Amino acid sequence: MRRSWATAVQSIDRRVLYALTFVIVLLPLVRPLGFPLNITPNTRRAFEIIDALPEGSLVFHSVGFDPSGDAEVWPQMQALSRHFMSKGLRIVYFPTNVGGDMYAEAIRAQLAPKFGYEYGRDFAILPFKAGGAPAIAAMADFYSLYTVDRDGTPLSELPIFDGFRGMQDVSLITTSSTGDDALFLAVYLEPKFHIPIVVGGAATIMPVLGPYLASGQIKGIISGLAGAAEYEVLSEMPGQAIGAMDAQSAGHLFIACLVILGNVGFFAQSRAVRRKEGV
Amino acid sequence: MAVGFLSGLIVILKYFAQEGIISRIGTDLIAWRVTVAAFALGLGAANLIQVHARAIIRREKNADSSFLLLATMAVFTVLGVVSGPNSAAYKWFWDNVYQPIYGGIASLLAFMIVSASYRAFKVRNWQSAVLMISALIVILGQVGLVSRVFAGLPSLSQWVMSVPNTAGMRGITIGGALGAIALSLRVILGFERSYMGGGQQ
Repeated sequence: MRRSWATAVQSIDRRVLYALTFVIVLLPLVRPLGFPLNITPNTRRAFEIIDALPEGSLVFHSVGFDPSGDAEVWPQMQALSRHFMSKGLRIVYFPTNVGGDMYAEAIRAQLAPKFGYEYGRDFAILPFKAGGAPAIAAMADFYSLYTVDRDGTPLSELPIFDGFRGMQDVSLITTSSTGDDALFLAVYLEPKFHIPIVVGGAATIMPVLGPYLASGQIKGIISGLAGAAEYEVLSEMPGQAIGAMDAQSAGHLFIACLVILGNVGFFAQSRAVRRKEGV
Repeated sequence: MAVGFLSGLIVILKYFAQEGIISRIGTDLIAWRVTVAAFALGLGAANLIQVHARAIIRREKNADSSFLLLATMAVFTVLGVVSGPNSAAYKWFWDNVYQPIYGGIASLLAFMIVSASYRAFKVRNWQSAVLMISALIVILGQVGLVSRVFAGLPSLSQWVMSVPNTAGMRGITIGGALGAIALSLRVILGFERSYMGGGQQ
């Protein structure tokens, strides 16, 4: 029996969908399409807060992702780190994911030399601490949680920690995370120390943060790859996010077209059934 | 039970006492939670070894995958402990084994999402219509090209995220917090004992 077009557009084989997805996402990576970018108010606010920090300010940056969030969050972390370093901010990376320290290490190896950043003086990497919420809550009493850096060097031997008493001396906390770092920071550290928090992370965690943004406990949000690309535009330091945005936009458009197509078929089929039944 | 009661009480009191012995003990208790969490990681690893070693010994289905898992775990552990996470060998494994495999598996999600949205997003009633329209607004609001054609779309997308989404999340957050308070009180007062492995209550 011949299938109607309404049924056909609702039952495209998943292998066809997978193949189309592959081609549609791959093509813009090979040949960039140059889709325009919207700068969202959240990303602009995040950029302005960081940009307003005076040189030498101390920024704590949580690294809460692993290779599963790499494509979205790593470009954000690079964009933020480039901006920090171009402004001469001092940075302390604190991994909250077991794989996070490897990304902080990559910043040390790839980005820091380009900006003449010296480890221990201009930036440092703390060791991973397990526990999520308890670990972030324990940061309130900083030296009870951290006594050495990731390499095992006592913090007292690192110039960046000279005169550092605890979280009250931090000018800003930022995140690059696929987890709940931002939530824990807003709940456990912000009320006590009133440190501004700028969140970067996977787009999927952003809906959870809405109430904290509205309450002012979180000052700005850089959401997903799109946020990273916007940040690269604002900081005028292009990186891999701008290039990857074409692929993501093409993927989004493809999903939207499929959803619309499926619904057109669904309506046509429902109408045909109603007509057949004489309703 | 007494330990649970005292620990809970001290951490609550610490919130109101910023100085003094209660504050110091409360701070220590919070720091201990990080140590306990680290032990939980070890416990998880031990459990993983137990389950997969049993599968290998009994030659169960997919025992070869169990062997691969334990072998990889052993290689990473030995490399991490012996040569350290900054060593070239550890980094090589991270860059060339762990990162591509994990990233590859995660990227498969894109294909699932395309297929699932195509099949699931059908306007069967007004609730699903609201869901689908909101999803399309937020998805397309991220695409610059579409926003050039429909100039108001990014603002609409922003509104969906900051008004209805925030209102819904606020309700969920407050509900969750009330539930957590109720459960914490039950634990502190000894009504909830299942965490000790002793049954329901």
